[in-house]
Amino acid sequence: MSFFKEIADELRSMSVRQFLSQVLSLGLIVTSAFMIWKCLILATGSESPVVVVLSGSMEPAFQRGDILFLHNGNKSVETGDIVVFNLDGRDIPIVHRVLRTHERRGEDEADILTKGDNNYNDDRVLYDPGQDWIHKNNLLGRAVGYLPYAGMATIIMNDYPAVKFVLIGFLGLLVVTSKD
Amino acid sequence: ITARSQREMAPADATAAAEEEAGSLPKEPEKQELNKGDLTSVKYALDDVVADVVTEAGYPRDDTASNVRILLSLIVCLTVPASHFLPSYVEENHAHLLALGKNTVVFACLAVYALGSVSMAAFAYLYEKDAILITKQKKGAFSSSGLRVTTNIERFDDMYKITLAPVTYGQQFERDPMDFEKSITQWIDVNGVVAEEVVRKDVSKFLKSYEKSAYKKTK
Repeated sequence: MSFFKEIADELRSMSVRQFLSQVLSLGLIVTSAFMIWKCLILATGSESPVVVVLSGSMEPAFQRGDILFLHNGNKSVETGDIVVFNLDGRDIPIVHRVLRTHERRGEDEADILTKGDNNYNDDRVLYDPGQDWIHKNNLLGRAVGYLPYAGMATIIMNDYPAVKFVLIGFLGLLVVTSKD
Repeated sequence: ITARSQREMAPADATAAAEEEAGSLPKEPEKQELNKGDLTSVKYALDDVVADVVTEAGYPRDDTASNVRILLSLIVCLTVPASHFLPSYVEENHAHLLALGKNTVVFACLAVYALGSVSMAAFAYLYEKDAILITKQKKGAFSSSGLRVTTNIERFDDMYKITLAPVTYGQQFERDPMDFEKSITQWIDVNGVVAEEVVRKDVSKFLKSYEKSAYKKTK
């Protein structure tokens, strides 16, 4: 508890100018992280270049909590690729493998059918009623790399949202009261 | 701090005696105990006292450096909401600006961020360097300039060096900087409490000798 008292004393002893400087230092750290994220988005062409696997539908290849790195290029999607896609109107991305593709000669658009490795059926049960195929504009990208279990922190923060606020609040307080 | 200098440190009762002589200090009611092993916090605590002595001697703080830093930080931080909200705004209202591709706005924000960060680093390196305090001219004094106070303490050493130099504008007010070195063992007692009265006395004496020597330029 004396740790919080130290922080309170530190905050009280700061002038407005010092406090502003420290808050802006915190802002700079956040800005750097954000800019790195933006660069990743531009470099990979994907809106969400790093995703966490949320379900066990791709076992044994990917477990819940793995991190996937995506790349959204102009190369056409092949059967067997692992893709991450968003269904219209829903914003939770799904990580599954491409089972079948239909391409039309001379056209850019292809029909794609996906299925999770660990699922019994293909994804037509997930698609909107009447929709049998998804298209390139649904895709966030193809998986080009992965880190096992590195995303467990995100899953914990998803299941217990309070953890997010506690963590960020605590870190913010530490940065504002540090003497650098 | 080596074992040898620990033995030579000012005993704890010297701090208490100095306090009694000076009467009760109007500042913080409890003395902070520093971690003697952590040289950075010792330096910061002493820097605070030195800065207070100089500002209380009549040299007003020069906040230009701080203002520039705050302004640049603000601009850099604003690139975050800009890169988030500007692209859709530009697309709706000024689509002709997107001639370079739909990511132009984001690239522009990144460029502002990079430029801002580099400017901040350049400013700190070229203007501020390692000064702990930059002041303006003393009130009413027109023949001397503001001060640039720098302090240094080596990593495993116990000598704390204060350097007073003039804030020069070209050739005006130029003079040699003056140094003052003292072992921090004379300023901190065994418990890590800073003997503020002793520090203030030493620093004011040094400041006065600096002011007096202004009229004897060595160049």
